[in-house]
Amino acid sequence: MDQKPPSAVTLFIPCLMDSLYPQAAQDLVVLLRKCGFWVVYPQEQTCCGQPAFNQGYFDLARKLARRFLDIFESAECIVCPSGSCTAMVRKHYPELLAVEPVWLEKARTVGGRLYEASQFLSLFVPASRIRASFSGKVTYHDSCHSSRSLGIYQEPRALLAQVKGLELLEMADSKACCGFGGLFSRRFPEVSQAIAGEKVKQILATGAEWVVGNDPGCLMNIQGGLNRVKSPVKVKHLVEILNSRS
Amino acid sequence: MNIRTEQFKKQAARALKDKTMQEAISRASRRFSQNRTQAFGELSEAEALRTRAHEIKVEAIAHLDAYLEEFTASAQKLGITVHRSADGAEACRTIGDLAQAKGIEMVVKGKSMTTEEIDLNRHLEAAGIQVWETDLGEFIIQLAGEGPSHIIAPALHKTQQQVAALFSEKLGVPYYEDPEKLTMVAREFLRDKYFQAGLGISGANFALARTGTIVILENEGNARFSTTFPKVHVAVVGIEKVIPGLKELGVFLKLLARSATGQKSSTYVSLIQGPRRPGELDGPEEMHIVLLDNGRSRIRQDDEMRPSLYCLRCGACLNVCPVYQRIGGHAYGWVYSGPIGSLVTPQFLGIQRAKYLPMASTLCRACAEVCPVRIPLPDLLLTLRRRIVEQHGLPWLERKMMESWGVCQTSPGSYQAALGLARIGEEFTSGLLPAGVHLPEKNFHRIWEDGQV
Amino acid sequence: MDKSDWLDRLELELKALQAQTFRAGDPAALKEILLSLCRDSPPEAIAREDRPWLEKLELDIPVYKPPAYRATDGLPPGNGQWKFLQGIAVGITGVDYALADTGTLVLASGQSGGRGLSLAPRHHIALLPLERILLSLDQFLDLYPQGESFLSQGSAVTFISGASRTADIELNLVLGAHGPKELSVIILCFPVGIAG
Repeated sequence: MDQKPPSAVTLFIPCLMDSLYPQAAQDLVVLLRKCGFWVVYPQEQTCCGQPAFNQGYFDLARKLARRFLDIFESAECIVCPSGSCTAMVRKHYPELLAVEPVWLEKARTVGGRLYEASQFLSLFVPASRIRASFSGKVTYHDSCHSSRSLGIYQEPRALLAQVKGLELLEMADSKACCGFGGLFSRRFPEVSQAIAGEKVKQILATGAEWVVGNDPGCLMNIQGGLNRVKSPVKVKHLVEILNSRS
Repeated sequence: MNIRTEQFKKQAARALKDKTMQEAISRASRRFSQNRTQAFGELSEAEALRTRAHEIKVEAIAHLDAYLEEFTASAQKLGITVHRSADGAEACRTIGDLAQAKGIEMVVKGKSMTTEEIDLNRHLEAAGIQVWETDLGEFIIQLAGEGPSHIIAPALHKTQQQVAALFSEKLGVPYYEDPEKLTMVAREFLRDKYFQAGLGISGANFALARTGTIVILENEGNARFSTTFPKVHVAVVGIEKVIPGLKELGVFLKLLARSATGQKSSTYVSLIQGPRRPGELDGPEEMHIVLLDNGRSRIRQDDEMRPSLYCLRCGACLNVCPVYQRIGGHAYGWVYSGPIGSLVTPQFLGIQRAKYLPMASTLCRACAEVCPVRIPLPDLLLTLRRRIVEQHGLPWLERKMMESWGVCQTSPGSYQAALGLARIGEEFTSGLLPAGVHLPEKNFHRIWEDGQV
Repeated sequence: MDKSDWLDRLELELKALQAQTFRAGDPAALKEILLSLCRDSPPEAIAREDRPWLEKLELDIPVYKPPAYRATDGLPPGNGQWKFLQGIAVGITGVDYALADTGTLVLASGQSGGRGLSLAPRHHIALLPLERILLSLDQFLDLYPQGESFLSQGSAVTFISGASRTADIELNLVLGAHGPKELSVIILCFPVGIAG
């Protein structure tokens, strides 16, 4: 995909990252600026509506979708550090707004300008530019939305391969669901925790000290799973690693 | 079997505590899915075949009425008596009446999920007819008085110790743990039943409209036995099994065994075209096919949910489902479990009876990745969720909370206020966050606002 | 891939299915192989199908002829048949077609006269004329473009890929669940004079 890199990048920060992992959002801003992009952050943004959508509250999801599209429709290029939120906008907004031609058009336009963070960096930033260093044993968790909905697999790995000092240890099944599923984890907490437990077993089997991913929901859920078995393994978002100089 | 779909949540929680069952199910489903992956890796043009299989099903279900008519006529030309049953009760009555009219006292059965769906065994037994399941897995759960825990391997949840104890108790044989010995026990026990039974009942994987042929896939040979030696053969076939003909069958035969167990082909594929013919030494004298509706037409009329009928009952979706792997099949409360079970059970039994089934998914999409006929399972589950919400099927409090949450997202001010409240009441809202995860002092909005980045 | 490769492929697939394979270069070799496969069974426990080309081979093996049941008896026809079949340890059948890429044997009841001999005995020996080896299921289906011609093949056309098996108990593979425990395929590499 040979496209000219944009001059400005508009941030779509998942509400879970905003509230729970703000330092990761900060890291993304710093990283983008380091790579020469002007960073815009529309402060009116709240949530893309995914939690409502996934539970079948389509009307509410539609309301939030229209609000989102209004906020982002003039953005030249949007970057989102979450596979699930990116998939929500790109894949599900057009489905939700299928019978409203004007909104459908906006959804398509905005979706076409939206990139998940590792996708964006792979497309528009030469590998040498990032110059991260992070010494540690890392295993990578592919979120369901990233890998199965968006087809992202190579991009984060290619980026991690450039990080000095980082050793990537693959899980037996990195694409296995972590058990979050949004409100699924509240509705069926024991099942969710059991699924997370299986993921944690895989993580521990790699011998990694860090588990990294691009989906704040997954990271939060995995962190809970690690805490439940009192594991010292820590959780980090991909952009935190890429902005590291340690 | 007793329907227990309403108790899904409780059953799931209970299943999680059953370590033996969990281990058995997760080991088996992992093995099946690994074998499936390997088998598909070796299949040339696998993706094109899946697409073709999907297209065949789309067309066949779209024109189902015409194909059913064609199948009926073709089957009748072969000397097969075809019955149409609107529902399970009618099918049971038809078969029960047939059996009683012929003075049948014993029935042997090949594996058929459809007959479990309509509880056929219970109906026949109530009429004083002895029914023997002959598929080893079905035989085991029949002796145990349980329902199937997996679509293709019904006794997956049982260890060899449990089977040994079961056979020893119910069949009066010594306690053998060796699976080979146990299998031989079943083989010997069932052997003469095939020849004593007056009626053999089977399902069918496919029904070919052009020729009136039914197709049965199996590995053991028990369906071949059940459909060869008893004088009368009755096949119970869901109407959605009808496909145009041999050419289309070829596409499915390449996909079905690979999806189910990773085999290139099931050990036996029987294409049955009527009762025995002059000159043939064996085969039933009389053959009947019961075409079962039981809600399938209704699903078919539903444009959004129609793809639910494409299912080949291969079980591939079960094997990759993180939820199924943890809770096994019994928790779903009915004959169909896993992703396909979550999809069809509310449609067969009514959404109100099974409303938590479509909810019990993380929508990870692993099932859609492996479905040989490309049923968009997660999207269909989501549609069911939408309908449950629209029909006010969820608790009032939950609806209100979702509405309030929605309101908070409509302006940055209310969003921030809600977040502030959450931070203050973190002891109370900590139910929302996993163990040891806490809300930081400042969210990113504030950090940006304060110019700190 | 040409025909000789198909034979190699078929043997490979059959071996993977725990079936034994043999090549018989002439009728004498065939008789020797059969003798060795049947040496542990008394002659009355062996039976063969009644196909014209099997007849021509002069194998000196009794034809499978179960007692004709009397429909008027009211008894299930199975009883007499079972007593007869119970005594057969080795069933020798012909094969109508073989599909090399899956190790599948196709047996049509219309050609062979029935279904039971490849099903009930503990050991199924299948005699496969070389010329009837096809590469794949697609080639087989191409023989019946209209499907209707397939109807003439009999009341049951059975695709057999290996010995009977189950893994229903803790996924342990066990052979001989109901059908034959042992499958031997002898490929006849000499003309047997099948019509059509």
